[in-house]
Amino acid sequence: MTKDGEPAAASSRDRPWRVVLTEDDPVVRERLAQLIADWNGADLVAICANLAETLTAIASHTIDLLVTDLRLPDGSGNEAIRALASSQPDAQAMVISVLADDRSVIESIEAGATGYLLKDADAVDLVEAITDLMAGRSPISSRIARVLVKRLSERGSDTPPATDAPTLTAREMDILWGIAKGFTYSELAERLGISNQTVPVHIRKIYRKLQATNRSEAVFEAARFGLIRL
Amino acid sequence: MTAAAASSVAPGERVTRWTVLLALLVGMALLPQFIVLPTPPADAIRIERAQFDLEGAAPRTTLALPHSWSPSSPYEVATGTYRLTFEGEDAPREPLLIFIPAARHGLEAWVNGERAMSALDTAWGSPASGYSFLARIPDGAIRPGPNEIVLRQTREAGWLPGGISPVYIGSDSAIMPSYRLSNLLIEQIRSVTLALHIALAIGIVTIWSVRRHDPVFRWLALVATASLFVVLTQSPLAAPLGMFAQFQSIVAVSAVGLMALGLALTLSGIARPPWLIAAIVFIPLLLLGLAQLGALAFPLVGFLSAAIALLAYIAAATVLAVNFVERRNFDAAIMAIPCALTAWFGLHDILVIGGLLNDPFLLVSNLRTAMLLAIMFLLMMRLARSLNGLDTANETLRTRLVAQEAELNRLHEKDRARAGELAREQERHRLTQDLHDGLSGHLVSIIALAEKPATSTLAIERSAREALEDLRLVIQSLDLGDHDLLAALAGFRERLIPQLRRLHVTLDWSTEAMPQIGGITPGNALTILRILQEAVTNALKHGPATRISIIAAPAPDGASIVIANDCHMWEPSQPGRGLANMQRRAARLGARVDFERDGGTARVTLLLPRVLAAPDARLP
Repeated sequence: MTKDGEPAAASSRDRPWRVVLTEDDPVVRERLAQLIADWNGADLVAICANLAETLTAIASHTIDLLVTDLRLPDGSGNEAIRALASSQPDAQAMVISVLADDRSVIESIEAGATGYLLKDADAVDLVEAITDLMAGRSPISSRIARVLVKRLSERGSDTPPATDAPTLTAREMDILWGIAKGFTYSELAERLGISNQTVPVHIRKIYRKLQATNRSEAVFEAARFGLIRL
Repeated sequence: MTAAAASSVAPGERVTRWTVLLALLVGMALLPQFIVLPTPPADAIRIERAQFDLEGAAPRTTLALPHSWSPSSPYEVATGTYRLTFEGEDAPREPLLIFIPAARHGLEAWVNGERAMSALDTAWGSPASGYSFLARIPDGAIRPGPNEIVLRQTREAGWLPGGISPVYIGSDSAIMPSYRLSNLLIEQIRSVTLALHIALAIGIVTIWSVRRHDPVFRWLALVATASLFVVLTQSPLAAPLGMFAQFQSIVAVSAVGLMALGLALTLSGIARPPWLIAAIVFIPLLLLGLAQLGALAFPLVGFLSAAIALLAYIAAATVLAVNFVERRNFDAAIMAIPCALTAWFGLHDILVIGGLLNDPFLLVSNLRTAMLLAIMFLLMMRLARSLNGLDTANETLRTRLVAQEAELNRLHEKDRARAGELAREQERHRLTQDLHDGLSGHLVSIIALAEKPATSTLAIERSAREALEDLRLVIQSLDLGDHDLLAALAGFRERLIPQLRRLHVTLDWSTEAMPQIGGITPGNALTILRILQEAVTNALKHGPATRISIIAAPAPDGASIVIANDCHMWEPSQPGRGLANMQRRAARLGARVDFERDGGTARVTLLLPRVLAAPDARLP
C-alpha cells in the first residue's frame, strides 16, 4: 500500500487482488465469477448472493476489492460498501450496474465506492476496470459529473464555506466541469496540460472527498461544508 | 336614495316625520320665550320705574321698565336719559353694582352725580344687539335716603330702538352670578361661535379645494365663507369701515340666505336653477348700488335684503323638510332645523327692528351657532359614511380578491394537473415508441435467433448487447434538456468505447468544436444518437471498419457531425437501407444526412440546423 492508502499496480505485487464478488442473479454471478477467475490478476475470496454473506465475507477475510451489485435480496450493496470502508479502509469497492445509472452510482460513491462496472462487461472491460481502480484511477461518466455539478451548485450556493472542511481544488473542479460538458479525458488533459492518465486519478480524489463516513447524503454534506463552490 | 325607495315611504311614516320635525322646530322656535335671563335674588334692589327724556324731543315722562324708545328719524345719533331713584342704606358694608340684565345701545351711568364705571365691553358684545350692563358704584356715592341714578343711552349707529330692562342694585355676591350667566349666554357664546365659524370655514374650504366636483362642498364653502364675511363686518374688527361695513353686511344677508337655498337644493339632490347663482351675486350688488346712490333709503335696503333672506330660508327649510320626509334623508332634517329657525328668528328680529315687537335682544345671530353645528354634524356624518363605505368596499374587495385567488389557484392547479398529465402522456408515448423502435425489435430478433437451431450464440449475444445499448440510449435521453447535446454525445461515446474495444476498432472522437444547438428534447437527442448508432453499425457491418472517427464541427448553418471509417474498396458506394433510415430520421429534425465514399474512406455527414425542428409526429 502507498501512503495514500491506494494500492500499488498489480504488476508490482507478488500476489493477486483478493476479491469478494456479490451478485444475486446466479447467471450473472456465475459469469462475472468466471471472468474474474479466468484472470490471474485477481483471486476470488468469496462469491456472495446476498448482503448477509457479503458482510460475513468482509468480516472474515482481509480483501483488496469488493465487487457488488446494489439491489440485493436482503439489503443494499451500499451497506456492504460502508461496512468495508469502516472495517478495511484500504480496500476498494466497485458497484455493478446495468445502466451505470447516475443516481444509484452516486449513492454508492457517497457510500465509499470508487468505481463501477457495467453488468454486461466482458473480460477486457472487467480487467481494465479492476486494474484502473486498483491503480488509483476512477471512472466517471459525463452524466454522473453533470449530476454532481448540478447538485452541488443547487446546494452549495447558500452556505458559507467552512474553513476546516476539505475543498475541491481548482483542478478537480475543472475536471468535473469538463467531464460534465462532454470532454474526453484526452481533450481535458490537453486543455489542462496534464497527462491523460492523471484525469482518473483526480476523479478518485473527488470521490474520496465526496465520501461521507456513513451517510448517503454525502454530496449535500460536502456542499454544506463548502467543500465545493460552483 | 332612489325614486323607488322614495315612493316606498308609507303615508303614516310621512305623517310621523312631519310631526316630529315640526314639533322639534316649534319647540326650538319657542325656546327664547322660555329662556329668562337670570335675575338677581331678592336681596338686590329692583327698580321698575324711571323718568325718561329723549334729547331734543318730548319732555320728561315717568314710565315702567322694561322700556324702549325710538327717535323719530332713523339712523341718526340719538340719546335718551333714564333717571331712577332708590332708598340707600345708612352705610353700605360693601361696594354696590348697577346691573341691567337687558339693554340695547351704549349706556353710561352716574350715581348722585358720580360716574359709575361700567364693565369693559368685550370685543364680542355688540350694544346694538342687546347685552347685559354692569357698572360699579363709586365708594361713598350712596347716601342714606333717596339716591338718583342717571343712565344715559346713546344710539350711535343703526335704527334699532334703545331700551333697558328693570335695573338692579346689589352687592357683588348678589349681582355677579346673574351677570356672569347672562354674559356667557350673550357674549361668550358669540366668541366661541366665531372661532367655530372660522375653523369650520377653513375646513370646508380645504375639503372643497380637493373635492371640486362635489356640489355639497361647493355650497357649504360658499355659505361658510359668505356668512363669515358678514360676521366679520359686523364684528368690532370691521369698526374702521363704519357705515359701509354695515351696508355690506346687511345686503350680504340676502346672499347668504340664497346660498342656504342653494345648499338645501344640493343636499336634496335637486338641480339648482340657473338664476340662483346670478341672484346671489346681483341682488346684493343691486341693493348696495341703490343704497349708495341714495335711490333707496338704507332701512329699506336692509328690509329688502332681510326679506329676501327670510324667504330663501323658508324655501330652504321647506325643501329640506320635504326631502327628509320623502327620502329619509337625515342630513336634510339636520339642515332644515337651523334654516327654519333662522327664518323664524329673522322674522322676529325684523319685527323688533321695525319697532313692531318689543324685545331687547336680536336672536338671529345666535342661530349661527346652531347652523354651524348642523354643518359640522353634516360633515362628520359624511366623513363617517365615507369611512364606513371605504371599510365595506375594502372588505368586499378583500373577499372578492380571496375568492378570485382561490379560483385562480383552482384553475392553475387544474391547468398544471392537465399540463402534467399531458406531459406524462407525451413522455409515455415517446418512451413506448422509443422502446418499440429499438428494444422490442432486438428482443424479437433474439427470440428468433434462439429458436433457430443452427444459430451461433454469438449472434444472440450481439443482438442482446444491441438491445441493452438501445435501452441505455433511451434511458439516457430521458433527462436531457436544451443545450444538452454535448452531454448526450458524451454518453454515447462512453457507451461506444467498450463496444468498439471488444471489436478491436479504434475510435477517434472530438466534439470540442461543436457549436451550441437549440431545440434539444429527449426525443430529438435520441434521434441524433440513433443516427450516429446506425452510422457506426453500418461502418462496422459494411466496412468492416478498423478505425472510426466521429468529429463534430461548426457548419455554415449549424453543426456537422462526420462519422468516417476505413472500408474495403469493393463495398458498394451506397449503403442502401441504412442510409435511408438515417435520412428519414434526420429529416424530422430539419437535419440532413449525406454519404460519400472517397477511396478507402466512407463518410456519413450529419448536418444539424442551429435549432432542431420539433417534430409533431414521430416516425418509427
